[in-house]
Amino acid sequence: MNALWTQRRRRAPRATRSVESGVEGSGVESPALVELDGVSHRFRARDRPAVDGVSLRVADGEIVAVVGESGCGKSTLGRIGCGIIEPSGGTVRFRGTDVSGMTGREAIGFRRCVQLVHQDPFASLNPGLPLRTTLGYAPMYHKIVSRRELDDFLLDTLRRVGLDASPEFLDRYPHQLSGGQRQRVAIARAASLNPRLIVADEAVSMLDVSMRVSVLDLMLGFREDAGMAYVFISHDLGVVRYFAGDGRIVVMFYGVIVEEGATEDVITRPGHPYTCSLLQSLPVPDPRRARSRREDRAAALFTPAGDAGNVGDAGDGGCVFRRRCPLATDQCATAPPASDLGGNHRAACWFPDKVAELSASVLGAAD
Amino acid sequence: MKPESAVTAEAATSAGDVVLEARNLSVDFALPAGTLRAVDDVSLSVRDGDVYALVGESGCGKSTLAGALVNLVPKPGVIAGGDILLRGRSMRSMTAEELRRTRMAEVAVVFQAAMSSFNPVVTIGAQLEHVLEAHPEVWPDRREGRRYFDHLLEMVRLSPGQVLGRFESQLSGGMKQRVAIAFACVLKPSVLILDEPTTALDVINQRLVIDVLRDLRERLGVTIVFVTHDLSVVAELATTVGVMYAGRMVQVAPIDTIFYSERRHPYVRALLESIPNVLEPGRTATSIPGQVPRMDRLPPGCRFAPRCPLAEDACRKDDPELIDDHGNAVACHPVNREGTKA
Repeated sequence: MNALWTQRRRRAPRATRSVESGVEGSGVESPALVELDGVSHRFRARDRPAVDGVSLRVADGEIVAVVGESGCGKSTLGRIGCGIIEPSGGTVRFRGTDVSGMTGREAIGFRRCVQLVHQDPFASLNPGLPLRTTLGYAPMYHKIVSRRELDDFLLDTLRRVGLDASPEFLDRYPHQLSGGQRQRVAIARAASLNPRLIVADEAVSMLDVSMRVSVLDLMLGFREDAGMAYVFISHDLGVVRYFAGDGRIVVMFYGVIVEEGATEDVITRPGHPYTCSLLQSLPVPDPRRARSRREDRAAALFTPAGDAGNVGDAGDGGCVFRRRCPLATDQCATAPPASDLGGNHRAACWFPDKVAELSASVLGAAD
Repeated sequence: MKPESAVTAEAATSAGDVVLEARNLSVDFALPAGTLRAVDDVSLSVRDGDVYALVGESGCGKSTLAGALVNLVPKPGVIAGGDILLRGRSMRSMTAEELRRTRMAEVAVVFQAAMSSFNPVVTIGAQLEHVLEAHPEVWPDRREGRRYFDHLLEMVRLSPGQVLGRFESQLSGGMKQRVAIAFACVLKPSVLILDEPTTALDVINQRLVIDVLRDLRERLGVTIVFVTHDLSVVAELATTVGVMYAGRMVQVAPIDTIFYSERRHPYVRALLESIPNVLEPGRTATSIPGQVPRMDRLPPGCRFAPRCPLAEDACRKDDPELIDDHGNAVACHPVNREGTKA
C-alpha cells in the first residue's frame, strides 16, 4: 500500500534489517542520516549505468556538495538518496533502516524527512494550482498543521523565505512570479515540512547570478534554525565554495566518485585531474586573472568535449576519466584505487604527484 | 579622479570602424494593460573586432535589445523610435527582401535556448541545405558551402560525422549550442549576435563555448555581440561592456574599466559583489537588496534608486543621463558629480 516504491522488489528480508539496525544502534557509531551503500542505477536503453556502485554517508546537519558536469549522474544519485528512484543495485538506509523495506508510517516519515528542491522552478510548480495548494498540500498530508491553522502556517512559511506574506499572494499562480520567487516557493515547500535532509538539485543554476547568493543565504538560514543536512548538487564550484564552505565535496564523473574531501581541501588542493579541469573551466569575474589563467591553461590544456563519447567504456575496468585525461598512461587501463590525501580527502588517480603539479598550475593563478 | 586608460592587449586590437550602431533605440510592447517600454532610448556602437557584452538581470530588456539590433522584435513589440545602422545603412528603412539578405549573411543571431532553434524532424545536414538554398548569393556552389560548414564544425570542436546525419534530439545541450554557432557563421557574417550563449550549460561546456567564440573572433575576424547575466563570462570574453538596468543603459565602458575603475555605476559594483568567486574562501558575496522594478511600475527618477546605497533626493526626481568621460559613460548623479569635481 504505502510501500516506498510501487513495484518494489524486496531486497533484504525484514529479519536481516533489524539485525543491521541493531548493530548500528549499539553505540559503536551513530547511524548516518542517509547512507547510500554501493548503489547503482542504469536507465533503460542506456549502455552505461548513470550511477555505478556509489557509497555516500550524509550525517545529521552536514552539507555534502555533489559536483560534476551534465550527465555525470549527480542528479540520479540525489534522486536515489531521497527515494524517488529505486536503485537497480545497492541499498539506501535512512537512520540505519533499509528504505526498500519501508511501508506505511515508516515510509511516510522518510518521505517527510527527506525533501527535494528541483533545478527548474518553471517546471517544478504545478502551473494550474495556486500557491495555497502547492504549499499547503504536503503539510496537511503529514498532519503538521490543521486545516484551521493552515493560512497562518502558510503566511509564516512565506515570511520565512522572504516573500510577500499576504493572503492575496497565496492566491497567485506560478506564472505570476519571477524565477527567483518561484525558487523561493519551491524551497519553502521543502523546508515547511521540517525535513532532516534537503536534496537541492542545481537549485540556483537557473537563476540570475545576482539572485543566487540571496537564495543560498536563505537555505543556509534554514539550516542554522533547524539544523537539517543538505545534499547540494551543482556544477559550479564557486557556488559550492560559498554554500558548502564548512562541508564536504564529492566529485562525480560518469557514475563514479573520483574525489571526495572537505570543501576547502578539494578546492585548494584538488587530487584528481577532473577536479582540476572543473576548476580551470569555471569563469572568474576578474579579467586580469582570466587572462593570466588563460596563459597558464595553454600549458596543461584539457580537451573536454563534454560529450559522452569521451568517456571510458562502461565496465572495461579502467579509469573512467582516462580518455580525457592529460596524465593518462597505459597504467590507467586498470582502475586506480582511492588514495588517501590526509584528513578524509581521497582521490582515485594513479599519479597523485603529477596531479599536485597540475593543481599548482591551476591554483598558481588563484594565488 | 583620473579615468582609467586601461587599454588592454585585447582592447587595443579592437579599435576598428563602427560596424553596428543603435541610435536612441526604443522598443514598446502594446499590452492590454497599456504600453510598456522594454528598451528605452538606448544607443550603442560596436566596432570591428569588438566583443561587446550586454549585461543585466532577467527582464532588463537585454534580449529584446539584441533582437532589435537586427530589426527583429516579437509581437506585440514594435521599435518605437531610433534606428539601427549596419555599416551606416539604416536597417529600419530596409525592405523585407533586403532584411532577408542581410540577416544571417551580414548579421547572424544565435537565440537563447539554441536547443529549440532547430527543426526536430529534419537532420542537421538537411537544415544546412535549406540555409544554403536560401542564400545562393553567398555560396553559388553549394559544395563549397558544405565544405565551409565542415571547417566551422571543426572550429567548434565537433566532427561532421558526429553532427550532419543526426537529429537535434540526438545532440547534447552543449553540442547543440556549438552547432547553432557554426550555423550562424556559415554565411560568413561580419557580426554575430548571441543571446545567453552559456546559460543552462555546465562549466565544462561553458568553457568550451567561451573558447570557441574567442577562436572565431581571432580566426574569422567576426565581431561579437553577446547578452548575458553572468559577469564572470564577460570577464573571460568581452572587450566592451554595456550594462542595462530596467530598459536603460547605465554604464558603457571597456572591460577593465567595468571591473577595476573607480568611476563605476553603483549597480555595476553591486552586480560584481553578488558573484560567489571560486578563488576566494569564505562567504564574501552579498546580494543586491530589493528587486528589479516591474516595467509598468517604474520609480520616478533613476530606476536603480530604490536599491542604491548612494541614492539621494536628486536621484528620486531626475533621471540621470549617460555622461561620457574618455570612453567610460555612466548614468548616475552622485558618480557624475564626483567626476566633475575632480
